[in-house]
Amino acid sequence: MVKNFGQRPFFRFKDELRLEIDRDEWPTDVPLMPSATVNVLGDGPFHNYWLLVFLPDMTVERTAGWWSMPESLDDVLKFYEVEMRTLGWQMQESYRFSERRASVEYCRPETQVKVSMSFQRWETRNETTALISRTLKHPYIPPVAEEEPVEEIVEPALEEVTK
Amino acid sequence: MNASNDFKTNTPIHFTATLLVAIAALTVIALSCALTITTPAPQVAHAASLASGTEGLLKQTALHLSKMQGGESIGGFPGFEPPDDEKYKQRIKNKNYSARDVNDWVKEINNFLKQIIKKNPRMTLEEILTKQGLTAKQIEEFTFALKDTELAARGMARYGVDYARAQALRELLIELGVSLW
Repeated sequence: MVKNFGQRPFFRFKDELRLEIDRDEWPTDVPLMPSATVNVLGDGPFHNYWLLVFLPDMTVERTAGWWSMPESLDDVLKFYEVEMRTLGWQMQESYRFSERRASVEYCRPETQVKVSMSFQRWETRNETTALISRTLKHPYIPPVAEEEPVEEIVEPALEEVTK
Repeated sequence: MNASNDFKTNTPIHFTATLLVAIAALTVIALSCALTITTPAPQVAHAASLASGTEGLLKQTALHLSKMQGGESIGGFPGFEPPDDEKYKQRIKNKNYSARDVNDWVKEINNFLKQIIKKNPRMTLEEILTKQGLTAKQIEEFTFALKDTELAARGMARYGVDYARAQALRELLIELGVSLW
């Protein structure tokens, strides 16, 4: 549920609507490590967000967050492997690109919800970051406009008008 | 006298000409041997079927993606080597880059992708990277890095990343057959 409904700023661009979210608004079915804090970049903390994309045949709902943990990459990967399995997620793909980078994708076949995670270890900062997105597609069928019946207007005969 | 002189001057010319012809013949033989010995590797043969310049564009894309990943190599392409600028080096290595940096990188990535699409119409990114000779894992790494950039750019919009660029990247990825949702 969105906090302060009706009072929150949002951003609209073409077919997208984006709303920044706080930690307590993060989807409950995608766990966060207790030590997780919002990833901080050069300008400050990343703005985690909830995004709606309005496409002709569907509405795409995405939640994206970039988190930082002091644990090692292996510990973070282990945490997600156990926790996601416990929550009933099915692992679709898992890649260890290097000692410092890995990506994993999960899904729930019954609802088609997808979760994508990219992990990176930053040794100089002693932290592991996780860029996580949760995506759900809602099919959309545009309503067909009903045609209003046109009332037949009987035009008066020319003779009657000229009388 | 004249004839004798002609003989004396023509002989070295004939000799030089014969020598040049011999050298040319030997060069042709040597080149043909070299071509036989250096039969192109499968990945080079694949890359040859991509439009010219594609490899350079992919390399540049990977280089810019690498900047957001601390300079790590992406998809087997060389990672970003920070210039002799200690400040910039630290910004990349410690993910201290700014929204302005990301804005520039996304702009460049979009430009490279546009050119890749233009040069290789109707081809998916997976097909292009396969033809370039990347392994399945390298293709995933390249694709994940692009998708991550698209996601990250939006979360930095309030700091100055042009939202239109993030959305343009989304559209380019869809055009390249990358599944975003």
